[in-house]
Amino acid sequence: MTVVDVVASALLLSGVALSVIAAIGLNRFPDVFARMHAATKPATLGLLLVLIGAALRVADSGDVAKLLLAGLLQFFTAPVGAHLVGRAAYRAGTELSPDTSLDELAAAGPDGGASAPGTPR
Amino acid sequence: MEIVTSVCFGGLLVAAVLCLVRLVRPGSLADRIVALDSLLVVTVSGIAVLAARTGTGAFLDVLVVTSLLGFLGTVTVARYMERRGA
Amino acid sequence: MSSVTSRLAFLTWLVVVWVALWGDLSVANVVGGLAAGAAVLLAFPHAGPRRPRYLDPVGALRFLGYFLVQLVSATALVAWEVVTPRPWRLNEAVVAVRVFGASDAVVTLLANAISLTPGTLTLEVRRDDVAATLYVHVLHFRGVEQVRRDVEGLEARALRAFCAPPVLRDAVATIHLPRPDAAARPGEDA
Repeated sequence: MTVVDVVASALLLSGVALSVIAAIGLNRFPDVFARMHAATKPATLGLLLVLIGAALRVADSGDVAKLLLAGLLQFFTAPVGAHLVGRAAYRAGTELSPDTSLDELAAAGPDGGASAPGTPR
Repeated sequence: MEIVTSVCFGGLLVAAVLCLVRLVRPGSLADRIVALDSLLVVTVSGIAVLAARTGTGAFLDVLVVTSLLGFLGTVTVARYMERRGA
Repeated sequence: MSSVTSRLAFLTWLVVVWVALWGDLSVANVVGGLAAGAAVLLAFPHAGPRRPRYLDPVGALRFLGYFLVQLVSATALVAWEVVTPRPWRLNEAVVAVRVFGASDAVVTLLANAISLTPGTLTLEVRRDDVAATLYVHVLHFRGVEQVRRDVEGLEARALRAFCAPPVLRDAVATIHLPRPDAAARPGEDA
């Protein structure tokens, strides 16, 4: 194995490890928002590591470009998707877990009209 | 490299099964979106690991298209959820 | 950036994507990319991300570096919590954070940077005349002040990178305005 192979292997393995951790978190965390923190985002970072690892291994420069493009697009789209799902879940009235100690958005009201202080739960 | 990628495939298999478990467990629509999203990320990782194993990029077009379609799907269902509520 | 240069930059980006998708840098692909990009720009005149009008390259690199460090440490923390056995108890919260709102680009950038970091997620963004309020869901809640300090650390670097100095002076004045929880937003009676 060359040095490049070793680096690629390390990237692939750590990326896959993050994916597995994300999938475990998906089943362990108490509400949908916590699961988004635990799952979607580490999985995205894991995917970036895997993509870079694969880019080190493929020979064709066009393939490298495709992998890097996929990683870049993932980097831009992941936070947008996370925000949309989070906002939709909140607006749809998804239960926050009992571990939630403060909800200032509830205090702000559905259209943001009020500027009341946050209500501790 | 064979061994490393085999380990990677094994790990991704475990991750995929765990995502499926979350998918079939009772939960809200948002839970299912998150689970499906993670499953898709695992799939895309799998294609990338395959490319690393073989050193050829025959499936990389599938990889790019899958990840973009996944984002479109997430956005679509999120908008549906906001309209419908649940 | 003027609108012409910003559209040219967007066209360049589209060509780069097109060529990368084909995986082959040839004249035919560049020409095809220019044609497809021009078609997109004509069909969707308002397409493209909101670009900042000002860019300090050194500041942008420092912002990126700071963000990546935050990203890695937050990922490590969340990953550690997932694999260690209970009992840990999460302390979640939704916190309102006021950020300087004159630049849509900076607000978008901040909201996305927060959403990409494990442990924080932008649920909602609301605007008023002087500021934007980000409603941030946090996984490890250690007081409202802590969350605001974290966001301000990111915000200060983003402003330095993407706001021209006069706008930056406004920003310094604005982000010290009363927070929403002080019950006195400008233009509203307390």
